[in-house]
Amino acid sequence: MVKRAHDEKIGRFILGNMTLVPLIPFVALLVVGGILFTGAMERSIVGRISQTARDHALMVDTFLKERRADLQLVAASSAFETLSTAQGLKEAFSYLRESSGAFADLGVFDASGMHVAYTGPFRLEGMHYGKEAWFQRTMDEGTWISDIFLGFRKTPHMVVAVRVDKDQAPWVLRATIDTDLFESLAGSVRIGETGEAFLVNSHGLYQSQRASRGRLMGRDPDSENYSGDAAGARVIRCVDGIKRVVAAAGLSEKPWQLVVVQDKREALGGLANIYLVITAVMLAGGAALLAVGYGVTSRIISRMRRTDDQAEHLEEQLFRAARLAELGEMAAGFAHEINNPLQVMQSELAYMKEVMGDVKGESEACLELEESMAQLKLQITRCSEITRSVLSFGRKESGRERSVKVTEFLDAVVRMVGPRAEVGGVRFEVKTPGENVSVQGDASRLQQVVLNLINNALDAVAARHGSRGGEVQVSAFKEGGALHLGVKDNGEGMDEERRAKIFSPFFTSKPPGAGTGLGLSVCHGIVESMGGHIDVESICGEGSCFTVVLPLDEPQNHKPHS
Amino acid sequence: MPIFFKTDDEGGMMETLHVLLVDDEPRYLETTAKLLTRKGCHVATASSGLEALDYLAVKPVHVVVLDVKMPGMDGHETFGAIRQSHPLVEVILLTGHGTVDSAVEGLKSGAFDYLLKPVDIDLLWEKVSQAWGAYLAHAEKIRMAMLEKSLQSPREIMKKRG
Repeated sequence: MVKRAHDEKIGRFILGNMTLVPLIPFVALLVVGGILFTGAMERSIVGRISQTARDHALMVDTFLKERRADLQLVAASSAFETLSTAQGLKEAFSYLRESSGAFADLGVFDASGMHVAYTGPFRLEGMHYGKEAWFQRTMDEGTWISDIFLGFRKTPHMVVAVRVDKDQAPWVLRATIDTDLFESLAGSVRIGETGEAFLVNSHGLYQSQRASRGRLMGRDPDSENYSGDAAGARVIRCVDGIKRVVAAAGLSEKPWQLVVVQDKREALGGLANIYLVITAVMLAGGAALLAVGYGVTSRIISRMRRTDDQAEHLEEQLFRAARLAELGEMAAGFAHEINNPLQVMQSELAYMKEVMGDVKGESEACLELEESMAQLKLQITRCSEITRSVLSFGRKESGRERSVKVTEFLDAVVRMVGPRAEVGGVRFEVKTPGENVSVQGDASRLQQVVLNLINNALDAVAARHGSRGGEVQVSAFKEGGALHLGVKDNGEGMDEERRAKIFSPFFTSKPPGAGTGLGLSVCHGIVESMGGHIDVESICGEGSCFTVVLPLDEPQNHKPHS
Repeated sequence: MPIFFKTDDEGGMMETLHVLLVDDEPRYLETTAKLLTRKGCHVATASSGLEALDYLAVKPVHVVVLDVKMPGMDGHETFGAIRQSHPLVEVILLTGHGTVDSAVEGLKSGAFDYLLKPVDIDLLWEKVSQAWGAYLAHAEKIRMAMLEKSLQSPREIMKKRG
C-alpha cells in the first residue's frame, strides 16, 4: 500500500508538471492577448463613435451655413419693396425652396420688427416681433440662427434670419427651417439598437428629437457630462443608471453639441463575447491538456507498476530460490547428523545380537528379546531410509544425465508425497509401467517436475473436496517410443483462458504468497530440456490432467535386440 | 621405502588382520571394535585423522575404515595422507548419503570402497574381508615382483660385463 501511495505522489508530480508547465504560458498568452485585443477593440469602437459625432456635427454645421447663405443670397438679390409684396415674397420663397427643401416659410420684417410680408402655412403678417430675442440678435449681429423655440405659432421651430442693410432703413429676412427635416438630419444616426445622435444647446435642451426619450426642447438629464470638443468618447454613468458611451462634438455655428450615445453594454458587448471565447478556449485547452496529461501519466504509472511488480516477482523468486537452497542444505545437514547416531545404534544392535548369540537360549524371554531387536533394526532402517530420501532431494546434482528407471523413480516420489496424500484424505493411485522402462535424464530434476505436478494436484483436490473425496492418479505407460507420465486430479479444473496461461511464468491461481507462479514454468523448462514436452487437459469442474511425454532411453530399448 | 619394507616384512608373516577404525563418535568406535574383534581380527581405533596417522606410523595396519565427515582433519585429507605414507593400506570410506559425490572422488583416487551410513555390521565385515584379500593379493604381487627382480639381476650384471 505504501508503494501505491508513492506511485500516486509520482503521478501527481508528473501530471502537475505536464499540465501546469504548458498551462502557464498558454493562459498567459490568452490573457495578455485578450487584454491587448479587447483594448484595441475598445479604442476602435469608441473611436468610431467619436468619429461619428464629429462627422455628424460637421454635417449639421454645413447645413446651417448653407441655409444662411441661401437666405443671404435671396436678401442680396432682392429689394425690400419686391419682397414686401405677397407675390414677390412667394417668388423668392419658391427660389429658396429650389435651393433647399428645408425651408418651411419666409417672412420680411421692417426695422421695428413688424412682420411686413409672410409666405407659409401660418398667418403671421402684421405681428410685431420687436421684442423677440431672435429679432434683437439679428438686428445686433447681422445674421442669426435661433435655437428651437415656440414663438407666436406655439410649435417648436428654428429660424434663420439676416439683416439687410442696403436700403436707408435695415430690414430683416427670416426663414423657418422645416423642423421634421432638421430632425431627420440631426437624428439620422443609428448605431445598433441603442446608438443614437441628437443635438443639445448650451443649456442642455434638446435641439433635435432624441429617439429613445425626451421631447424636443426638453432637458437632457446628463447634459452636464457632455463635455464637448473632440475629447473623444467617454463612458459615463447616466442618471437612469445605465452606463453609456458618449461622444459630443461642438458646432461652430451655434453653441450646440452634437451628442452620439450608445449603451455601453451594446457598444462593448462584442468584447464580452471575446472574453467568453477566450475563457472557452482556456477551459477547452486546459481540459485537453489535463486529459492528455492524465492519459500519459496513467500510462507511465501503469508501466511503472508493471516494472515494479516484475521486480518484486523477481525478488520474490530469488528470495524463494535462496530459501529453498538454504532449506535443502539444512535438511541435508540435519539428515547427515541423524545418520551418525543411527550408525551408533546400528552397531550397538549388532553387538547385542552377537552377545545374544553367546547366551543363546531357547527361552521365551530370549525369543521375545530377539523379536524386539529385529523391530529395532527395522525402525533404524526406516529412519535411515527417510534421511536418504531427504538427502537425495536436497542434493544438487546439476545436469547429470543418466538412465532413470521409471518404476523405481515413481516409487521414490510416492514415498515422499504418499504421507501428504494420506493426511489430506486423498485417494492416491499410482500405475507404474513395470520393469525395464527408463528414460534419459536427470533424476533429481525429473523428481522436481513430478513432485510439483503431484503437489499441484493435491492442492487442487484439497481446494475442492477438503479432506474427503479427493482423487489423484499418477500413471506412466509406454506409447510410441515415448513415456507418457500423467498426473490426473478431480479438482476444480480450469477454463480455456487459464489453461492457455498455465505454463507462463508468474501465473498462479493460488492466493498471494502461496505460490510464485514459477513451478509449472520451471517444469516446462526442465521437460523441454530433456527433449520432451508437457501438456494439460482440463475440464472446468471435473479436474485436470497434466501429461509429461519423455523420450525413452534408447540403449535400453535396443539392448534386447543386440 | 623403509615403510614399504617394514610392512612387507611384518605383514607377510602376519596371519591376523589389523584394522584401524577412524570415527569421531567414541561409542561407535568402541562397539564396532568389539564386533570386529569378535569376527577375529585385531582392531585399533582413532577418533581423529591425526590420531590415525600417528597410529599408522608406529603400528602395522592392513585396512582403515575411515569416516569422511569428521571435525578437524576430515576423511579426505586423512585419506590423502595415508595414500602418501602407506600406499599399500586399503581404505574403506564411510559416508552419509549427502557426501556420496566426495566418496566417489575417493574411489577414483584409490579407496577400496565406500559404505553408506548407517552401515550394517555384516556388510562392514564383508567389505573389510574383501579389502584384506585385496591387500594380501597386492602384497603377494609385490613380493613376486621383487623376487623376479632379484632373480634377473645376476643376468643383468652379466650383460653389463659382456
